[in-house]
Amino acid sequence: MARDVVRAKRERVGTVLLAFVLVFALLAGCAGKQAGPPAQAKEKVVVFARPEDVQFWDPQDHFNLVSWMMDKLIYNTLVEVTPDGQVVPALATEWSVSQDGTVWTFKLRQGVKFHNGEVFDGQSVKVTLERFLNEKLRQGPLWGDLAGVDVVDPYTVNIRLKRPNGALLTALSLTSMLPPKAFAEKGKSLFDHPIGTGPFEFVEYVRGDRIVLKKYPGYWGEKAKVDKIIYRPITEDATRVAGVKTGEIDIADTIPVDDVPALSQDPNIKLIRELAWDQIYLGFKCDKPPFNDKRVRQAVSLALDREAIVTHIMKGGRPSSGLVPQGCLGFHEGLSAPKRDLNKAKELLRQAGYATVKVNLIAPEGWYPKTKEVLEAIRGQLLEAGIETTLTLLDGAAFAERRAAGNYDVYYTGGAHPGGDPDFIFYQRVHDDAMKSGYRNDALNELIEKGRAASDRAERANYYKQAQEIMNEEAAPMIFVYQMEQILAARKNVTGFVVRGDKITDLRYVDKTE
Amino acid sequence: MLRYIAKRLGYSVLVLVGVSVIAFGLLRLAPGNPARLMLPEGASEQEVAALAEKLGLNKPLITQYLLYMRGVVTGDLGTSLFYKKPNLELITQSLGPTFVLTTVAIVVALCISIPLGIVAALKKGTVLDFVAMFFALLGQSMSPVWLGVLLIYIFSVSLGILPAFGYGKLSNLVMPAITLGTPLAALTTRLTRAGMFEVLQEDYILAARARGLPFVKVVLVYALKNVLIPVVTVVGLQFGTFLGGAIVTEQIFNWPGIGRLSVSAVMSRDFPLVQACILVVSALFVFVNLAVDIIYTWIDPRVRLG
Repeated sequence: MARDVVRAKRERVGTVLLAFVLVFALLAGCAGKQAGPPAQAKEKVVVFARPEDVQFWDPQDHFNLVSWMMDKLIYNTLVEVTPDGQVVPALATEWSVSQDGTVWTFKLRQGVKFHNGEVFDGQSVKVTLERFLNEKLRQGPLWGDLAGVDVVDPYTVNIRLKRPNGALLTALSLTSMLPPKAFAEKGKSLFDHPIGTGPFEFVEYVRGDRIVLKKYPGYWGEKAKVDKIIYRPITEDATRVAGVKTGEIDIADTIPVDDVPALSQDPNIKLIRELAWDQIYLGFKCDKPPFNDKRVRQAVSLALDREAIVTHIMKGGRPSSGLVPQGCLGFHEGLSAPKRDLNKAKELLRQAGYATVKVNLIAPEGWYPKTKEVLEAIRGQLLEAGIETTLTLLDGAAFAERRAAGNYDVYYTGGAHPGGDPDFIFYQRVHDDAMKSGYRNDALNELIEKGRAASDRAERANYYKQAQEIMNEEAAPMIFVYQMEQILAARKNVTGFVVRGDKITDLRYVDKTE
Repeated sequence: MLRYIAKRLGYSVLVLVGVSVIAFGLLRLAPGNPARLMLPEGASEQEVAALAEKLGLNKPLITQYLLYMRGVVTGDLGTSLFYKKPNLELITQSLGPTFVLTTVAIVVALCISIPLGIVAALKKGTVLDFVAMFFALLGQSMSPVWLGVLLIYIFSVSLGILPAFGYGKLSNLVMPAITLGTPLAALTTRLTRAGMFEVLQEDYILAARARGLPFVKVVLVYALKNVLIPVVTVVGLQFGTFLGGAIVTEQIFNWPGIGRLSVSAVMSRDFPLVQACILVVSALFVFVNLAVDIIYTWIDPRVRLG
């Protein structure tokens, strides 16, 4: 009898506790349901997501694609370079260059106001550009040839160079104009609340969570079509993809190629796949064996099966034909990616006196998609030609150190061209040999110098084409593997945004229909 | 008690100094120059050297360490090389979200697991027990990455009742808290069940029951206190660990916590920020442990500190 009472009591306790558990589970679910997805506001908001956060708000002190994307919305530049390589006016209406190429004269647009009411004129150009003379900034390398800026009259400026530099226009397309008075007053703290002349005004920045911009109704050009743009940095691929599916994100960037089949089935989503102005290449150490021998370098190039990598691993992009990717200034249509030729590769190795070759390849972890898979493929391909590769996958910082010290036989890396201009990469990595390959070719360097100095873009392109011909023949200091593809997923009702090969997506005229 | 606390605090300071030395040293040993990482790829040696000089990276190590410690003592944890903001500001901004996530995760985990564990012990051998243990096994086996993404796909993409990511609303908290709390809940369920079952066999329980005390009171007041000792230990340790940043969970749900901050600081070799993060997290861990020890005295009167 007592036992029954005890048991009954036990049952009751058990039931109570179980109810406790269930109630909590229910509450958790309910809390979710009530808060739910945000209510449709009356204003038009477009949400863009990418893996990286914007860390750098000083428009001259970064070398970061996401920062440039934001800068494009908040600021303007003197000129712009369109995705197909045309240089068009923006804050400058016309320009000319002196006979000797060292003085560029720009006529500026009138009637432009900054978000704080300041008027845009020559002072802005002077104050902005002279920062490069007075401060050490991350975009400094773009302005190495700057001598000074003269304000001839409020709407005419002369930019003086130490020597001719046609890449000036590209550099200008990446340099946002600052409000001179506000910058003089606040200095760098201005960038806690950036002020520019662009179609959007800065509202807020919550680090790691979001950037909010709102339409600037006083814009000098075509006004923005949406009321707000919100940028959200979301590192996890799965989360970003999920966000587009639920509609919490309107445009998501850097979609893994493996998610493409599933996303293309979704009737609310459209996929945008375009070539990026970024290529993966292998850089050789050219001043010691085995890669000091041109034949060995060419053997590697011929042993690679670029087609296979593009088709089966990357499932997009194209095999590279030279340093300049398709879509950039100086792209050489006459060159094509070397087709795999194992026999020739082996023959070249034999001629060079090697039966087999052992090389050490270093690569950065996590910088590029599918690095491991591509490396494995490369190793297998090279092995078939008698080249044994030891793969060393390093974390980004360690890799950068070794590469800069020249501590490698061959390294794997990418090279992007902001603004679609190869000048930067040509100069830094070939002419100035930042990766210490030890390769030196005076004819090649001269072409690179001319490519920079010429003011006419067609002329520059010509020099770059010739430079690539030499590089391909010499297979030095690097050979190019494949050009990357960029994949974006957007809701079907979002239009008007321009995808660029340098991933500085132009969101100024994005629109969303209901 | 107060003397004990004072002594423990003294030890804590020593521990933290040791931690700061190790963190400082290890960071400098790892290859990777922050100046190089801040400049565009392939910057020239002069550019890297100039930036390194400007950042004070070329001073002798002892000098750098002493400068750093002098700052710490005055409350200045240095400035982030990357964000160019005071580290203390960055960290305090991140601690809030981590703290919220951690607390909620632990509370939810305990609210589910302790009752579940008690019920499983009482109903040992029944279906209920089996279900509880199955849940425990599942919870401890599932990788948070998998669980987190799975939850997003079920509740955001398919059902559309929770937002997939972000921070700010109550609905943002649900999935991250579940993801973070599940392994802990699983462990605590097992501990509670095992402990409860054992304790219920004890003589003093039988004595209390014999005296006629109601069963609920016996279970919840007398038995539970003793069962909780290992649970408190585990939760205390986990709390400290979580405060260090539930890195994976924060990454998946885009939670702006200290875990994400620390990881990105390490990847970019932001020495001052990494050191500051390590110092703050270690301090929190040490104090949480101290708090746990003090809570022991309340739970188990046999424990005397000092």
